[in-house]
Amino acid sequence: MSTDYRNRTDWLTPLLALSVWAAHFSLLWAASSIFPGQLTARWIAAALTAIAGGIIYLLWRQAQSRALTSAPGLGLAIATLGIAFDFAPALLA
Amino acid sequence: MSGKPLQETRSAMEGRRSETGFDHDLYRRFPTHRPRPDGEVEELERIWANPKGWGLLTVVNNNYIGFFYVATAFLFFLLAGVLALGMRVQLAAPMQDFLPPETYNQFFTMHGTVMMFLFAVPMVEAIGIMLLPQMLAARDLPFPRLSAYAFWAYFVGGLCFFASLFVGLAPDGGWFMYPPLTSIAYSPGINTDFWLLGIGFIEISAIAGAIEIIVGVLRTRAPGMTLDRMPMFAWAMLVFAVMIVIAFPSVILGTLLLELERAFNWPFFDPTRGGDPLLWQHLFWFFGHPEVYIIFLPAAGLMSMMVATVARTELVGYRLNVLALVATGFISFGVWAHHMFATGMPRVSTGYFSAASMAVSLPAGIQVFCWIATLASGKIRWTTPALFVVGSIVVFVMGGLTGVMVGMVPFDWQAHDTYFIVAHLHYVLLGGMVFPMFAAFYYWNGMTSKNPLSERLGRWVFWLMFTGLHITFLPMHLTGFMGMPRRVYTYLPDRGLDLLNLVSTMGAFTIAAGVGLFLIDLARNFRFTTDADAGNVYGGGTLEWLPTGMYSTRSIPLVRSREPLWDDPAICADVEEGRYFLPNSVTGLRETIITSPINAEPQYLQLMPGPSPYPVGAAVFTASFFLSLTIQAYAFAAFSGIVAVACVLRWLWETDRPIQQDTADIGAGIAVPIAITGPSSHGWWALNTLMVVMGMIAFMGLFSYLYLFGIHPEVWRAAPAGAETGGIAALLAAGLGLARLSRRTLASKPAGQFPGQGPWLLAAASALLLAGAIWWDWMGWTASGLGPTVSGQGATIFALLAYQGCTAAIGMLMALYLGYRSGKGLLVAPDSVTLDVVVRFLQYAALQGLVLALPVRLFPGA
Repeated sequence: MSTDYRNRTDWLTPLLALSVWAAHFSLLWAASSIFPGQLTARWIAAALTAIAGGIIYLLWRQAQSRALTSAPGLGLAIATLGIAFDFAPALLA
Repeated sequence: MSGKPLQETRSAMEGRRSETGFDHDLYRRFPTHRPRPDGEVEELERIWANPKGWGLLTVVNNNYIGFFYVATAFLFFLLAGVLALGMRVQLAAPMQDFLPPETYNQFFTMHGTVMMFLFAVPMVEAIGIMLLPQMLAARDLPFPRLSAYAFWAYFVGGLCFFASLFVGLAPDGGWFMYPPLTSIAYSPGINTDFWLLGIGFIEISAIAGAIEIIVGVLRTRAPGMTLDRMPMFAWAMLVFAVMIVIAFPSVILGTLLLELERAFNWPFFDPTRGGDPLLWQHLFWFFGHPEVYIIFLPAAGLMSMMVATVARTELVGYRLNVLALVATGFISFGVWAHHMFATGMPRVSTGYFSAASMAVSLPAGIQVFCWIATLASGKIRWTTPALFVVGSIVVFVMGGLTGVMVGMVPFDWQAHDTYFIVAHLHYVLLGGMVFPMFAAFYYWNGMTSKNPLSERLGRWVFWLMFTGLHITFLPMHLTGFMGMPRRVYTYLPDRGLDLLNLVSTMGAFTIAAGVGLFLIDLARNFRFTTDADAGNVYGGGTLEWLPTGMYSTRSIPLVRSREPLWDDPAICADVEEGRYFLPNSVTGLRETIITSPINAEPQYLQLMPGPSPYPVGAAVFTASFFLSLTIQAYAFAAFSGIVAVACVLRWLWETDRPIQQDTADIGAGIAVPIAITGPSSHGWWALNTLMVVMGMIAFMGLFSYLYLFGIHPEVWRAAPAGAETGGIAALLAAGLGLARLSRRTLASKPAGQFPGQGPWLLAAASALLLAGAIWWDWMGWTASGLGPTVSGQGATIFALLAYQGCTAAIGMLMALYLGYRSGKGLLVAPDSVTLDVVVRFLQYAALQGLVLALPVRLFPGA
């Protein structure tokens, strides 16, 4: 039992990381719908992925813990994988 | 905060950095040691006593409402199961005529609809309402009358909706109701309207429950229960409720649009007039796929709690499991269009949804591995809940793997709309929700029944259901591969489908036998009680196993770990002897402690409402409103709507009670305020959540507008003149300002004094400006030659206008209600909960008006 009554887990970093994933996904889909079958959509996807990657990196730099077994670490990892997954169709499809 | 001067201790210094400034050193006073005065328990029992007999209709306490809710949801599970058996009899052999085609269509539509809307979501919400207060050691959830309203709306409306089957008017277009099949041209009867309007009250009920749960989990936790110490089920319910708030508005809007098209010929989904049927699919599945996780996540929360007890050890990877819940919630909103792979979406778009469908399996996998690791690291006690828990993991993983398969676009094209999908979704839903639910029935039965359920019968129930599930649904993978389509009432002989279908039918009856045996067990052993319960049969470690009565726990404990009962066995006795927070009723009324959202530091005492007939009245007439619209009894619908609103206002009348007492001693000399306004109040959180719901409806409306422009730009017309747009914006901005001024006027008066009629008149003026803006907007578009029946553009614009008009009308009603309270002298300076709510709603309405009016008027496409 602990006598520490303050929340010690950094929940904000994974929330922000997953929000970045959500924004990245939404914008990629919007671009692919507005420019169906065009190269423009793929370039937009590349640019957005670079931006999302940069934000994730900043979050990683500032995270309380970067271990994969911590909430921020795992949240950042899932968001990064999600962003990478999402970008793959722009490269391959 | 404290009745004694605060000493400058280390903790006090940290307290400045704490969430609310509360000094954590004060926690050292617990458990207290002085004997409590006699009669406190008796007073709590008197205050929290419930009416009997017909008075039960007026109860609002979570012990009763939760139980009613669970029982009703289970009834709908049984009814939908009977429909499934009917379908399986029909399909047991080729070319059967047990069910005519039209009836079969109604059966599969009602089976899906009832299971998803009347069983699954209400059941998890019901379990939440039943368990959460005890799990969080709150006296009750913060809006008990809202819970009661949510339940009764669901109960009355659900039964009426189901009854449509007996008069041949049940919906028959499949549970996702795709137009054009469900448009007026192909479905001219009112069957479709029953679905579109019939689930309206279910949506309202679900959102009411979600608001209750969000505020309950974030604001009524026992002191010391930081986010890190929250039970997994509370985390799961929080994510669940947030997902409802985000996802349900989409289907609310979709059903409204389709009903507007059917009733008034507004062509949202008619491609010949600038509409598009795929808009419906986007709106429906933006709700529909997260819905699967909305159902699964609470069950996963239950699993995480039971798995720890079953293995008699702490859950492995608590924080990772929480993160997995949150990540699942997020990513589940990126997979909706994987139901639309066969519609010809752009190739890259389908790729994105396919990728997200695979990504969502990552957090789901984390949860499964956490459960397996917990089971592996502990010592399993093979009770009935343990069997269901392990069986659930097996079944859910099987369903999840076929889910990844259908997440691949080429595979989905082959399996789309075949029995393979039927098999997949049933594995996921049975493994992900139904099995955990049965495990929970056995596990938590001791909280509500005098006797535990039978372990011997329970094992039979499990094995019958587990084997029956595989016998039913495993062959469906094959029938699907062999090309048998869903939703077809029969098939030809000698296609290799006969034996597989017969086996599936036998399996369905095996499941039914398991469920039947469970009913026998219930009849033999279940005896509802709120105090003399069977107790902690399986040895759980969380707070719901503290001794409880109608008032929840005698005193509200200080939480120091995730499994307080395991870590501090003395806590039960201390709580029961009143050695913790709020061991009595400070005000002589129903009350609970509101704590801060992150660290659960005590903030203030909430006065809670008691039994009332008005929630049930409001619920009956809400259901009546929607059902009257269905049968086009418009006058009675209007009457029902007015009565429902009157009942809501009447119930709210008592909830904002100015009392003489300003502060209350909640134990050990710690004093907190009674009822506050602003961002610290629970009402503020509830209203904000409601605004998110309304904002999401508006957002999805704008999405519909832009989507239709993308499909049919050729029918778009120019917007009215820019000067008019400026005038509308000015009116809305003025409305915003007047609402703000109303609050300032009240705040400027001396404390405890009646402020005169100024504040409410300013609020009413604000509402009038909003009404004026919407009238000007509507007339402007009409004058430009655009009407709602002209094109998809007209339909979406006038739908947005109608929505804003409804919002303004609600604002007007609220302002009048405020005026009436003011006239009765119930508005007291410097702040009032009612005025705070009304003013903030008006401010929201003004902002929503700007957000809806400006884009469509300034959009370059117009």
